[in-house]
Amino acid sequence: MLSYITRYKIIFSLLLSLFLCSLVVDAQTLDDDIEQGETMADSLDAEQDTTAVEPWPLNKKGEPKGSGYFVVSGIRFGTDLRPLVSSLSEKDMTAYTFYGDVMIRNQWYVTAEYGYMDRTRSSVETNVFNYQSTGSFYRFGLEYNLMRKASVDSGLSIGLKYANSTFDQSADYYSTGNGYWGEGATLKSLSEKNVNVDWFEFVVSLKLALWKGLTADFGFAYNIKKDFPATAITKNDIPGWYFNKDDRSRLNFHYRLLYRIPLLPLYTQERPRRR
Amino acid sequence: MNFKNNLRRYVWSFLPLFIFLVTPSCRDCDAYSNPSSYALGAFYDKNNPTSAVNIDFESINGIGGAELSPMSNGKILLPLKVTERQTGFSFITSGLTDTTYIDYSTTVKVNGPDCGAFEQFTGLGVSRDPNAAGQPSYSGATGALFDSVVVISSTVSADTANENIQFLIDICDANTKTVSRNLIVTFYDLQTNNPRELQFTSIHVKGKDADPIYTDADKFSTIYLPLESNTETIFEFRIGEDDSDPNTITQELKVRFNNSTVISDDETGCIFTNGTGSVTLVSNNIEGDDFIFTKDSIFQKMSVDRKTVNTNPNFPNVKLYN
Repeated sequence: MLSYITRYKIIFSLLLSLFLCSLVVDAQTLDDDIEQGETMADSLDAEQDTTAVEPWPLNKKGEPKGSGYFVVSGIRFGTDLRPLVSSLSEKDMTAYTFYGDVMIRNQWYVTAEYGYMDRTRSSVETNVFNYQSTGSFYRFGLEYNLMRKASVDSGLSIGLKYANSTFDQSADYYSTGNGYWGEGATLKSLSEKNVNVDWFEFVVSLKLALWKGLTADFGFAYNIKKDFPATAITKNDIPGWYFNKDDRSRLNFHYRLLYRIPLLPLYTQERPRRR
Repeated sequence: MNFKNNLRRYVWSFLPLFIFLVTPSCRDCDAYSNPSSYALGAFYDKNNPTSAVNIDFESINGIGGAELSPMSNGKILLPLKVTERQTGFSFITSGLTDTTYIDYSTTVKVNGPDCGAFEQFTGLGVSRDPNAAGQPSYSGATGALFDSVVVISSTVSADTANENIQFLIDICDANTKTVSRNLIVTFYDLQTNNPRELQFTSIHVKGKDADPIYTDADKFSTIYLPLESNTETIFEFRIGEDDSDPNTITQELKVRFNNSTVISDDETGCIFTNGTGSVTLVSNNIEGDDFIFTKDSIFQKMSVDRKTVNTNPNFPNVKLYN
C-alpha cells in the first residue's frame, strides 16, 4: 500500500485535496441541512457567504465600538499546503510551515510564520550529483485587508513582510581537474553550515471562507533579496524562498488553510464619557 | 444548487495550487555557462583597447608547466591549478618577458540533476608578486611587456567568447615614435675599464668608404652606428688615410641581429614589436658575444653588452676596448 502511494504521490495528493474539498462541502451541506430544518431560508440567502460579518457593535460611522484604540477581531492559525503537497509529490523533500496572524479590526493582519525544509536533489542516472539543503525560516509582517467590511473570514489583503532563513547545505560535485597540471577529474564533497539569508516580501493574498472559521488563503509574494551573502555552494534551495535561480527577486506562491479561533472577537468596554 | 455552487467554489480555490504543481522549478542547463578550469586571456593595445594585438610570443608557460599554444584568434586559455589557489604564468617574447600570477577561489555551482554540480573558479585577481593578494588589476613595471593587466570577468566559464583577463600592451604610436636602428657603441680603456674618447679617420659601413658615419673631426666615447639590412652589418674603423698606406689600420665590427624583437622603448616605455634584437658579434665566421684580438689591432677586445637596440646611451650594445 505504501509503495503504491509513493508511486502515485501526485495523483494521491490531488485526490487528497479533492477529498478535503468534499469533506468541507459535506460539512457545509450538513450545516445547511440543519439550518433548513430550523428555518426555511430562501434561495437567495443560501447562496450568500455563510461567514458574513458577525454581530459587531458598531458606531454611527460603521466602526467597531469600544476604546477605539485596539480591537482584536480574531486570531488564526494554519499551514501552507504548498510545501506539504511538495513533500508528498517530490522525492526526498520534507517541508512544512506554521502560520499565525492576529486580526486587528478586521483591517490589519499581524502575521508570523515559521517553516522547515529538508530537500535533497540527486541524479539517479549519473550518481554524480547530490545536493541537500536543510534549515528553517521565519517571516513576519503586516497585511492590510481591502475588504474589511465584507467578512471576518474572507478578504483581499496586501502587505509587506520580512523573512529570514538559516540553513545548512552540502553538495557532491564534479571537479574537472586540469590535465595541463596533471590533475584528473574527481568527485568532491562540500558542506556549509548556518547560511543565513533574508529578504522582503510584497504580498497580495485572497482569503476565501470555506467553512465556519476555515479559510483558504492563496496568493503571491514578490520576494526581493535583502542580504544573500556569497557562499561556496550555489544556494539552490532555500527554506522559505524555495528554488533560487540567481535572480534578484522571485515570485512565490502560497496556499494556506487557516482556522480562526472561535473565542474571538474580543470587544473592549466603552469608555465612560467625561463631563 | 447550494452544493453545486460550493463545489465549484472550492474546486476553483484549489486551482492555483494545481498550477503551482505543474510549474517546473529547475535551473536551466547551459553548457556555455558550465564551469571550466581554463581562464581566457587576451592581448590588447593599451591605446586602442578595442583591437586585439597579435604578439609573436616565443613561449607562454604556466610556471612549472609545459608551453601553451595561443588559439587561432590570438587569445590564450590559461590553465588554473585546481588543487591550489594561485597559478603563475610567464610570457616570453624575443625581447621582453613578463610574469602574471592569478589568484582565485572556487565555489560549487549547482545546476540541478540534469547538469550536475561543478567546481567553479571565481574571484579572479591578478598580481605581479606571488606573495601579494590578487587585485582586479595591476600596472606593469617600467620596461615590462604588459602596461597593465585587468580582470574583465572574475568567473571562469566554458564560454570562450568572454575574456577573463586582458593584458594591455602600450604599443608605440608609429606616427610619433619609430624604433631605433642605431647600434650604440662605447669605447673603453682596456687598462682602467673606463670609457674613453677616441678619434678615427673614418668609421663607415664596409664598402661605403666615401660615406663615412664619423670622421677625424669627431671624437666621442659613445657613437651611434646605423644598422643596415635586416640581418647583419659590417662597420669599419680606420686610422690612416687609405688602405694603400702601410701605416693605415682598419678593423671590422660585424654584428648580426634581427628586426622582429619586442622591445620597450627607453624613453617612453611603449612597446615596439619590430625592434632590433639578438645582437651578436661575428669574427672569422664565428658568432659570439666576446672576442679578443691581437695587440696590434685597434681594439683588443669586443663584447656585446645589450642584445636589443634602444636609445639609452648608458646601456651600449657593444663595448670596444682599446
